[in-house]
Amino acid sequence: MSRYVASRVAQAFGVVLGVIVLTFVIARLIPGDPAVAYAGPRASAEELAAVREQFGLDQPLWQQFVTYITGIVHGDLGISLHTKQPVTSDLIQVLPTTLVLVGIALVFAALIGIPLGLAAARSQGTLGDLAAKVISILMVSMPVFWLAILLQIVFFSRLGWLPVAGQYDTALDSTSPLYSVIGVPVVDALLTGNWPVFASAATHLVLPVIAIAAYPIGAVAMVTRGALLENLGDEHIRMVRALGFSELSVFGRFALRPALNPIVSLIALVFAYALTNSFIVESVFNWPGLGSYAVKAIQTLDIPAILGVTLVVALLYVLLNLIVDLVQAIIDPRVRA
Amino acid sequence: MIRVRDLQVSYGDSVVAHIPELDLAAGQVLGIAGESGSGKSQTALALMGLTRYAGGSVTGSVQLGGVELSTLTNKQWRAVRGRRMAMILQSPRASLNPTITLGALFGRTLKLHGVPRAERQARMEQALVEVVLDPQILSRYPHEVSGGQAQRFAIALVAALRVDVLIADEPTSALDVTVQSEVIDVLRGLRERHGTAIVFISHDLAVIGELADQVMVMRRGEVVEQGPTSQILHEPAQQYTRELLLAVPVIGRTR
Amino acid sequence: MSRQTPDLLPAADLAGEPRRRLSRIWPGWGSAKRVPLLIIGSVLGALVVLAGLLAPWITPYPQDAGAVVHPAQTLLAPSAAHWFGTDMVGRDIFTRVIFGARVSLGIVVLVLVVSAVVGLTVGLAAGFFGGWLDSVLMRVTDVFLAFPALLLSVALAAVLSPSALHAAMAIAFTWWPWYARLARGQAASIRRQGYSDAARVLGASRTRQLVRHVLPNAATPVFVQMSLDAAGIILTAATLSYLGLGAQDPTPEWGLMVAQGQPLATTAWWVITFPGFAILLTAVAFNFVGDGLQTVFDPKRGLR
Repeated sequence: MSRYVASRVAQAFGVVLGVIVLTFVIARLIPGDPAVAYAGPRASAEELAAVREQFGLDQPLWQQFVTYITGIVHGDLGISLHTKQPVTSDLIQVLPTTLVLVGIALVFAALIGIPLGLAAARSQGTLGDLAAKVISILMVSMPVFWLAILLQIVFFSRLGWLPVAGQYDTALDSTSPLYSVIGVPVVDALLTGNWPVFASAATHLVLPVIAIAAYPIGAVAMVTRGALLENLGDEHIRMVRALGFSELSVFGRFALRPALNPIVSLIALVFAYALTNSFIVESVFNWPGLGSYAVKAIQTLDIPAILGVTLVVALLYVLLNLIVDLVQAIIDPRVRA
Repeated sequence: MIRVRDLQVSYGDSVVAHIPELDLAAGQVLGIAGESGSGKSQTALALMGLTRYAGGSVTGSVQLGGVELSTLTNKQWRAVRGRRMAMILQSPRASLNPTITLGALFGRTLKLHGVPRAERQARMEQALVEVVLDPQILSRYPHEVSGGQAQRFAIALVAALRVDVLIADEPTSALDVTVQSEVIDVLRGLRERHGTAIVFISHDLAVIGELADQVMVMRRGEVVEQGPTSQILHEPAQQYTRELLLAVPVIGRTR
Repeated sequence: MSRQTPDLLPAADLAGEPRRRLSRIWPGWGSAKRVPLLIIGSVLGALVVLAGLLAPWITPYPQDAGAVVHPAQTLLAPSAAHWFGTDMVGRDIFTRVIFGARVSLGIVVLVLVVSAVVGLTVGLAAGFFGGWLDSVLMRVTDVFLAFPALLLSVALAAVLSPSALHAAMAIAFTWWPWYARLARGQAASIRRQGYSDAARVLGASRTRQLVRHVLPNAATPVFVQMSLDAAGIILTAATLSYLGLGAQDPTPEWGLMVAQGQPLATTAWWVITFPGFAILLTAVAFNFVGDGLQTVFDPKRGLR
């Protein structure tokens, strides 16, 4: 097992290095002259030269790369053009909000998607199975920005049931002031026992969570169904049935466990998808997280911020894939063999 | 012990096995021979009441110790499977759940069938001794044991459950010749010690001959010939049986 | 997501008596309840393609696909004259949605062709020649796969100037590694199976073997994969446009139309609803077809 862990960690390091190189390539080679992007199209030759010197763009490429990678190692991702702050400190500020949002959405997706997939596999070939499949395909085919706007129109504008934007009702600040713990209202309120704010924050979460969870629910249900059916034809399932185990055990215990691996590896993929979708959902629902930050960076052509976000999300993704590999090795002993 | 009358297994419109008559007494071994697709494995599934899970249906009568099985509900079937009847399968390692240890499967099965916690360990160890396996195997996963070990483990599981009837579907086909004879010895021991009746299914008449008291030969879902082993092996009435006897045993897949 | 290589059944088995024969191999087939999705998906997909091809002839106001302004008829609700209503400069939304099929399908075709060509070349080279070339190419592929696909497209599209073509290139840039992996696996297994042994004996050159024997065998699973991927490309392209990184006004692009209608969403629901629905419908059509093909080619893995 420890050899397996070591080799996976080494592999992940290699990929991280590649990821850094690729972001560098995108930043320096593709858009033509980055100095123009920085200084704007109307900048004079002197201004451009000043920018080149400031960012080391007059250096040879390999030297620029060394500077870039040294910066990353020291946690320096450059200065954001639209906030004028270091990208690193911006990211530290916005990341927790997004991770909480995405985390809740993914838990929600697993709680709905796995039972939906189980039910579909259980009734394979029936109308119920077909219905589950159609629902799943609708979920994965949904353009998330459109879904988010529709949810707003229906539940806020038409029905008035749920709040449209923000993280909680800031009018509560005067009656039950919120103390920051990690900077995410819903978590802060829970940790400090601030129930009015917690209730408000929870209702503000409903629509963004649905919008982000749609794709993961469909994907998890389909993969769960497929993985279970793949197992159900196996001899070990016939064996436990012949030993007299109930169908509940056959599905929930003997078929689900070997089927968990595809589901777990899907979680990494779905996490990446949900994180990128949170860009859109956050900007639609006005959440001050990584997504809103990224969308503003895109709108202002803030290259350092865009690349910082890309790099951080890619690193999170590599890390999550590593965790997934290790979890899989625990679930299924064949993986580590 | 087992009495079958006019058993018919079908998937949709096609009939895959038809057994007009079959009787098996306690402690007896019945061999079912035939090529792939002859319906012998489908017969095994039908006897265990598992056809429905493969998407097929069964008509006719199967009795176990005087109790009619064909009308049992799913719940009643569970009191038969693992308690009165059990089954071992062709690919020994694939028939064990890859994600749990052999001991965990063994323990859960004994628990399912009401063996008190205090007795379980002793039962497991005793059963493993019968099949000549080291009890340490209980901490292993299926991919960590050999095919022969896995098949002997499956037999130990059945022995510990003390079932009346064991259905062995091609239990030796995936194994080397030397390992085959080990498994046959273990099955013989099971019958002698516990009086377990065995339905032994194989495409290989020579292997069946080592164990069976009577033999049934099947082809394309129908019974070709049925009778005492010596008669079938030495004076086969049907051309098909003679061909089967002459055929070089081929280790292959059967469904 | 597991991108499994389907085991292809011989065509004869499918053509002959599918229900009888397949029900033996895979009993669920007998119910034949999975095929409807393939049929529905194909019909929907064909309608979208036809709509795109015939757009100038079947739309009531073809000139509205471009940069025209009708100040007198802005934001009209759906009616007999304007089935889907009009947008903020008075253009007919029905016309623009139909024309939008051209843009979206064009992007899909472009991305699929570019990424399949690049991916197949890299993957076949890696799988067929093996050795250090294989290692290098596959490590590069791993790096691309380490990025969430949509994110990498967004980053790349953001540094390029926004246009439909650049959006397509950005998507293709993240899509080819999947094909590279798929093709490599195929090429390697075909090489191991010795499909081309005979050709080697006859003295055919390596390149000739690659083109004549390895490529056709690797192509089938790639086609299955392409139909499954079309839906993802539609959604990614729409997302890029929504973010302002793809097609620009006056191009009738569905994602862009939703973005333009967003500020008015609460008062003029039709401006965003119909283009968004077109995206959903097209993605569903491709997913139905992909799922159906997967089922036909590889019944056991009906769904990924």
